[in-house]
Amino acid sequence: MKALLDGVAAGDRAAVTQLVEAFDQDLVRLAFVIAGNRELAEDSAQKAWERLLRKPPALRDPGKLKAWLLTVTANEARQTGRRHRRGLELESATTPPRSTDPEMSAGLMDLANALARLSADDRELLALRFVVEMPSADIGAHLGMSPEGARTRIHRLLQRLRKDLTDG
Amino acid sequence: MDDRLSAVDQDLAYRIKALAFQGTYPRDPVTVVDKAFARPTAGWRGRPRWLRLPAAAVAVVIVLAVSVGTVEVLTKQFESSQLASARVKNLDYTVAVARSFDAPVDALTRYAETTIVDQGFAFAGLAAYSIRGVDPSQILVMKLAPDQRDDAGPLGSYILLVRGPDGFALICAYFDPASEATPRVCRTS
Repeated sequence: MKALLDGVAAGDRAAVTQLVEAFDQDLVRLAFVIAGNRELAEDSAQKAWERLLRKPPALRDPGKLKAWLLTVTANEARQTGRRHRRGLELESATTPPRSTDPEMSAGLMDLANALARLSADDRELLALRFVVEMPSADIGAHLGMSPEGARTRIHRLLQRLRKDLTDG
Repeated sequence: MDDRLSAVDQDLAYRIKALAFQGTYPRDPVTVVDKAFARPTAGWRGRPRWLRLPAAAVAVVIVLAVSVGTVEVLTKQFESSQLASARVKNLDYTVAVARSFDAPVDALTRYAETTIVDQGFAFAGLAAYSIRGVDPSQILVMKLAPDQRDDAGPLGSYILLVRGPDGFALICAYFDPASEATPRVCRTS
């Protein structure tokens, strides 16, 4: 990873491409859950790559580059979400073309609506855990909370989502 | 305590993941890199430092619940980051942008009166309308004031209030199937 970061600093296109191949999908998916819109999500991830090129982070542990990219992307997704503040763009979140199972599509629509009622921070937490599949201990370090605190918050969020989906 | 989940929570976690996977597409890495190299200095829009104050310090929490007649619209702005929702006849709808949606006047029937106070939109009136042939418990529309736009372009004539599983698929007849602004489910290709 250090070699890749050095490559980025030197403007090595191949190094950046390798990083994009490794991380871009996670960045876009994280931003999608936060911003609720595919285009905004892609813009958020793109800005993270642009920032990486403009000012590569000075990381003591190059292994934390992905965490850095996730943080930048999440911040951008929150900001763009605030700027737009338009509600869930359902065409991205709920269009069912990629699910052939109608029940699955219906469930995802309900879930998208339930997620939209959470705060952006809560959506980020859930996305880090279940989309990026970051362990709670890492999430705790990433977001500045204890591992137990992260687990408890995730557990409560799942409870809230379940209740919302049941009541809905 | 570890990261293991109950079966119910596992299912929910799986669905969150599925939503993120279905709502996005893998991007071509070369295109991403080309774009990033094309705008290495202009891409990151710095903001004045005062705008970066912790949101909690400047957030205005406005919970406005207005009931007029049979409609109640609930606007929530927590750090302005919660997505807008509306309650109509005790049902919660998600507010959705639909840029290319258009419907003839006779396809809309006044469903209920409401009062909206700044949700980021300027409305042309206080009514929510049902759409001909569409279950109003699934989708309603509100008329927007003219010439509104956001970063992505003109917002169009209406805002949708959507509830239920079928989303835009219920109202494809009111979208231009050739428009790029039309939801994919309603496009011709």
